[in-house]
Amino acid sequence: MVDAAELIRVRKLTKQYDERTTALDRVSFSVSGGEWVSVMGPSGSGKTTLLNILGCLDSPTSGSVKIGDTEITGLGEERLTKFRRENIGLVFQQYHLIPYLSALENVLMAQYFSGVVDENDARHVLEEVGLADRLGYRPTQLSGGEQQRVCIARALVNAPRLLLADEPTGNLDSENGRKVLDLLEKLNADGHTVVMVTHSNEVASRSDRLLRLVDAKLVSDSSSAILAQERPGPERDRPASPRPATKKDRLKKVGGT
Amino acid sequence: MFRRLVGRSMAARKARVALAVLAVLAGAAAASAMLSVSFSFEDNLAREFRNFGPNIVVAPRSDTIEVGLPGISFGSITEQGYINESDLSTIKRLPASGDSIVGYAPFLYQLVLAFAYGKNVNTVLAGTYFAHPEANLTGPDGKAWTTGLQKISSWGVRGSWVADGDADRCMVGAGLAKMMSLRPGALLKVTYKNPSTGLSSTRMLNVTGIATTGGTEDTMIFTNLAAAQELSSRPGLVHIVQVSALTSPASAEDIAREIQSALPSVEAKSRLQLSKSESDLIRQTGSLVTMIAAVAMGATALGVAATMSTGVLERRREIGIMKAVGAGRRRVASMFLAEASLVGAAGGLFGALAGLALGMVIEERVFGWPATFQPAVLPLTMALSILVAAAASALPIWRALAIGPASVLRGG
Repeated sequence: MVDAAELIRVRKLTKQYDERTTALDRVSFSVSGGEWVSVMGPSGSGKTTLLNILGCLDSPTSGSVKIGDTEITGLGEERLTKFRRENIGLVFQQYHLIPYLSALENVLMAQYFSGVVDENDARHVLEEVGLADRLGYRPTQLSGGEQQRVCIARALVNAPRLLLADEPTGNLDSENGRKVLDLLEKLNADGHTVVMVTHSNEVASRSDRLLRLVDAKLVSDSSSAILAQERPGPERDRPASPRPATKKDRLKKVGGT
Repeated sequence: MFRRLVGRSMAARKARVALAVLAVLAGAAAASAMLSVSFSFEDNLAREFRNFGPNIVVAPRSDTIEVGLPGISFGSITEQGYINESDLSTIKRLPASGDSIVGYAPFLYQLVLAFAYGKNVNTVLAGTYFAHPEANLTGPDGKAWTTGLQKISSWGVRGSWVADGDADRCMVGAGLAKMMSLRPGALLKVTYKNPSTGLSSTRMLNVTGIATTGGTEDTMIFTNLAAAQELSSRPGLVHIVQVSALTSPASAEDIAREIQSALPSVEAKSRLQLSKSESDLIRQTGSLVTMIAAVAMGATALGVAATMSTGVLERRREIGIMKAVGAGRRRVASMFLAEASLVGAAGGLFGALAGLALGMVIEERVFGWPATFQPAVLPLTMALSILVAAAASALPIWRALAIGPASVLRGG
């Protein structure tokens, strides 16, 4: 399942909100298929903007973003939406579930927007994320971790090539955070390419690679193994417990940078 | 899935949806009440105008008799042109205008010498129908259609009208009654002298009522047509016919033309000034009612727009999530428009029903007309309400869709 070919190619990506505010400044990097890449950096460094552009939710001011064979920077809104629903799954820190729909219906909704509704498939995805007994529950009846897993199921149901996660454990306690990271790790092991924004070294240590953004610029692109040499910083997220040994093994398998 | 999404969304916002339905309901009720009244307004108003008396006069083509309605000259009474009484029912049978004929009254005039209480007065005796059943015409009640002065005039009568077929009784105009000190119950002797033969015939008539007509009829005597025909030996003949016709949808001129073409030997004239004023007033008032209905719908549109606008703005995040998950603009817009249309349909249905009831009350209580149920108002009001609700939602939906999902989701 793992496709080591280049999946994402970003060149001189710049995003300016106005003359004074530059969110991304000539950022360039590539991501291979099957990689798990963490994006770290202080608040306001451009992490979420980068993720939004990769997720076709926002457009850059200049530069190039190629996902697979598609240069997405020139696409109009409708084509971006189509590309997103066919290729990208989004996982949000705040889950962004529709409150009046059940877990199953939230997943079915994503299917509906892609044009094919298969309730069995939606149930199966929810079972895979461990929510077989929570199908009819509404978001308010679910714990944070369960809501995040519904969010992940919704992202997965249309079988995207790329999973983009914006601080997926940011609102979770350590136990639920660990479950979500285990799930992402499993998905990555199954071949999904994952790009994840996080503030937490421990969360990032699960990934293959680490991109660091500071003041809108990409300042480092390295193996996440480097995190093991760093002293843990202040925890801005409540992290899941890290499993660096497992990560090291997987780095060898994927052949990360 | 579409129905499930729309249904769940509406169920989750019961209070907001109820408020929007109420906004539509209020406007739809006002609009449908006005529409309901306006549908029957022209007919009812035209019928009201018929209380002002006849609006068409029919006379023989060769006749130049100077009798009839004010402002219309048919010449001198001495020129003896007649209409056959047997032709009168043709007027009610006109193919295009027959239904607009409220009634007619024939008149046979003759100069007579009236005597009572020691006073002799030269005056005109008119033979006419008071409430005459036309044996070969059927009314809406299934009985013979009845016509005559009692039906078409707006006279005030002290005492009572003369019964149909009663050859021994008469009514007198208020002016003549005053001149001769006549009251209901008085006995009047009338003498007719045939100008050709010089022979006189006399008849005793009992006065049943005193008529205040406001016109030249105040100095006349009125008795049954058959009695007048017998007195002057002109059986089956009348001088003129006064016709009362509804001037909506056809004008009085159109009806007069049709009478002339059905009865080639007669000349029919409308009371131009009155019938034009009637038509103008009916049209203007009809337009006014329609405008009020339009204003009510306009006010509804504003109310619904405000409610919908608030509702859509509150759901910007939801729209952002749907777009982020892969929904195209059209799909999201169709969901929101479906909700708006359902709100419009529900508000329109209940509003139309309430408005129909209100319209019936207005017809009965305000105008004193019989209440009429106008079923056509229901689909019309519902269609208008759906259109207004959808149109009022379109702009806020379009605005919400124009916002990128990233900026909406960033707000949490």
